[in-house]
Amino acid sequence: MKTFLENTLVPPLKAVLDPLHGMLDSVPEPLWRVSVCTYLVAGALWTLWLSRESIFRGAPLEGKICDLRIWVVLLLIPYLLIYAIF
Amino acid sequence: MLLAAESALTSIDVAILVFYLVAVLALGIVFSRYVKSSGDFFLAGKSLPFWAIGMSVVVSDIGAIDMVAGAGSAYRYGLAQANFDWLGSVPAMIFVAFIFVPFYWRSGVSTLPEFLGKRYGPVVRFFQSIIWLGFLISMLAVMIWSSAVFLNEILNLNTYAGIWITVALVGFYTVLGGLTAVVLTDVIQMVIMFVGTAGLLFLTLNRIGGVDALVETVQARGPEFAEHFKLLLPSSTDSPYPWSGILFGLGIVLSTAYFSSNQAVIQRVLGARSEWHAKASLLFAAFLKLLVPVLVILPGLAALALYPELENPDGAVPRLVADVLPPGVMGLVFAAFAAALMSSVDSYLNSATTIIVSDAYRPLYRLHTGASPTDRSCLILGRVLTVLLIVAAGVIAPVIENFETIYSAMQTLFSLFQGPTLALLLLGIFSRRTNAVGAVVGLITGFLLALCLNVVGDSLFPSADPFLFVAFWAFVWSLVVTSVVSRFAKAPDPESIRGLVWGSIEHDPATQKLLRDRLK
Repeated sequence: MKTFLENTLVPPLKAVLDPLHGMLDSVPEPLWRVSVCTYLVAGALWTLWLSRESIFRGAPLEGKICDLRIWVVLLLIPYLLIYAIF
Repeated sequence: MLLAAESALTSIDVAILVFYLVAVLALGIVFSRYVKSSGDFFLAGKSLPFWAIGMSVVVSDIGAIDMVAGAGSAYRYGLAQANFDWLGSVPAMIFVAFIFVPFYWRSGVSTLPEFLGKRYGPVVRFFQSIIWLGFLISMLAVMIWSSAVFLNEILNLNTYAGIWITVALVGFYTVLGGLTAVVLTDVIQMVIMFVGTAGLLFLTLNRIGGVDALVETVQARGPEFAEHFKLLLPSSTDSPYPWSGILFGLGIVLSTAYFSSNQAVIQRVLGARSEWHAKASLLFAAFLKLLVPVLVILPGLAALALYPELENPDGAVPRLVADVLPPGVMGLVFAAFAAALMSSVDSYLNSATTIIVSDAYRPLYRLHTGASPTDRSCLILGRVLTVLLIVAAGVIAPVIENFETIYSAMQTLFSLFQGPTLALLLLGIFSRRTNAVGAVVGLITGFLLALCLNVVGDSLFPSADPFLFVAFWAFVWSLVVTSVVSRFAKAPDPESIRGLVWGSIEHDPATQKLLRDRLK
């Protein structure tokens, strides 16, 4: 099975994947950090555009303490610091 | 594994452990009063607050095996292991909280196979139910076996006695109290786990001389440890955790697939007292996840500073426990290990039962009789199945020792489905055009591609053990194939997917009315 796949599947996939891996290898270290932090920010901050109705649906009260958009921002800060430092 | 610690175990330690086990048992009896219907048993009567669900999600996610193996992996590969709890959790938990949770909540489903079955038909539901059940039951057997080994090593208890004590203890409170008992005992177990591991970390760092001394000692060991305190490693690395794999494979695919489709997570979230509590629970869990690597990964790095010559890195934590902890604290740490084990066993048990009742009993009953089964019959079946499953897992557990490959194969098989399942889930929610033919082709070919890549991954990808890359490419493949094949087959009837697609939930007044009625 492995030999068959090595002969049939690996060559065409290698032709596609090797340039991609070469490109990823050449990315400088600070850009890894920027990419990860960008993903963290993008993965979280889109929630700021959610409607107030969808944020508070079922909430015990409609104050800032129950505003989940604020929770997301507070959640993001320590994670961004961690990835910026380490 | 923990044998070295046995001699140091005092009567105070044993008393703490026994007290903990008795307290958990008592809680099961207390919670049994509140279980009156199948909704109470499987979804805690939709009464759980966000903080309890958040703590339960975190503690169910960390088994005792993870505590030992996670520290072992940190000993071997360094801080990069922490990505699984940080980058591998936070964006996924936010995404699941605001996209999937409201969706599951409003579409009235209680399992992922149920949703995929409604959206794509019985073939996809069948595949998903089988794979999830297989995974949950094999995990149950492994956890019960680990629990027995643990009890054998610390209390010198016969392994078979250890198996049946675990079966009786966890089975007892899960049968009686259902999801409420599972979640609320998880809350206590999380506190014990965090306090126990924090004690271990504090005493270990105290012996080393603090965090700065830890970093200096490890890095002084040689150039191969230079990157042990880096979260992100180069793309071509001997470690299985290159930054590109962590970002694309773990951050985007595996973590989202895990939190959006894991029955143990979905079920807790659906047991929330409102949609807000359901969303907030995952955000709260993401806050708690900040601490997990500190408590699980740092002891592994600390062990590297104290014992650089360990042959088996998984022995790092047991060695620390034996060397560093005084009487009393050791009992607390052992209680933390027991808590980690039991919280995972009860979660998987309750989830496996739910899948059988929701995805096998209810549809088959409807097929044969044309009517829905009574709530009482579902509750009785849920309790009977809980007993049967835990007893079956107890019977299988000793076999695990001899057939470790079965467990490994099950884990690998399960991981191969993650990427394709996420692709189907996303397309099912966001595209009205995706249909059953596309889904079946996307799922099967995605799985086959992942299988092939898994076999020849060493030749294709730059890192050792390239499972992160395999998951990413299987996801991309399934996403493309499902979309393309769906274009060539008949579009699903709008009525059949009403309330199951994001667009209709957000913009179609008729669907919104239907969902409002369903929530009443």
